[in-house]
Amino acid sequence: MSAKIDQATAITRRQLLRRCAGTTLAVSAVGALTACGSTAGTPLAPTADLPADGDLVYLDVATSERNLIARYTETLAAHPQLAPGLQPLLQQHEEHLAATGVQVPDPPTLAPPSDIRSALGALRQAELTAAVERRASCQRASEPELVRTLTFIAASEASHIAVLKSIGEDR
Amino acid sequence: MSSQKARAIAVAGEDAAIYAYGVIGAVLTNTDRRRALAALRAHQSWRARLAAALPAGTAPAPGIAYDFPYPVTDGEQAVHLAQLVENRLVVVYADLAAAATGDERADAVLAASECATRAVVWGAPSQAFPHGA
Repeated sequence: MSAKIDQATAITRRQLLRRCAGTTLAVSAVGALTACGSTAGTPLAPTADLPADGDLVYLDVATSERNLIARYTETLAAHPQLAPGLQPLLQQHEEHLAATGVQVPDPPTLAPPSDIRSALGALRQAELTAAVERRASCQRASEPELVRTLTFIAASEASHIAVLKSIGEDR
Repeated sequence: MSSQKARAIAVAGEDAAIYAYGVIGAVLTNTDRRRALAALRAHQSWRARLAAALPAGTAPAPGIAYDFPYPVTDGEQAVHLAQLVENRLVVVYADLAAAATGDERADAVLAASECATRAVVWGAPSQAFPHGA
């Protein structure tokens, strides 16, 4: 058993950095890992009367992403000069929302702070809240592929906090 | 994938990252070198934590050397390698999170978040689903 693990990890270790060489290689490496992940674990069998826990987690994530999209959209409308920094983050939240496959209504509108630094601080706080919520979602999810997706979303949102901080420092 | 196998792969990934940061830190200077050394310590800490969770004697041994995708001889290459290493590890930790449960899963999500954050701090663009490219 340990020999097998050593063999498998020796390959992974050698390939980890090599696979960083270019987009195509990296994407194929991710694809290979996805294929491994999809064979692991047992999907939760939904009951007839209640939505599967995965469905509830997706709904929570979709609600949270829709909320973040609204905050970014409002902030961009109030501070269009932030577009170069904020547009990519907004786009990434739209990708997170699309990954849930769930439609949720828009949240109530909220006027962003008129001061740019405060507006960026409000977005940082919203991202922090979302990242913490995604970590909690991971504990409630059973299906491995869902946990994997949520981990990527949590990591993406955590990284957004650093992006927003650097945008704030430039001002 | 079993959680034990995913854990062993994460140990191997951290070994590669630790080796890479040794080279990255040697090439960089001043603030960037301090940042590389802080990242090195973080990866050493996660490596120790993961290895402690494996049955005695089953943690993969670190490689003597690792292949880089390109020579790392200047600051720009070193910074780019740091971005790649961090984003690749996000994928490794996402696999561990999917295979693990409870505290180990929570740790894997946290480690993935730290790696994605360090990639961005090293200047990589943020990604919706962070991976190596």
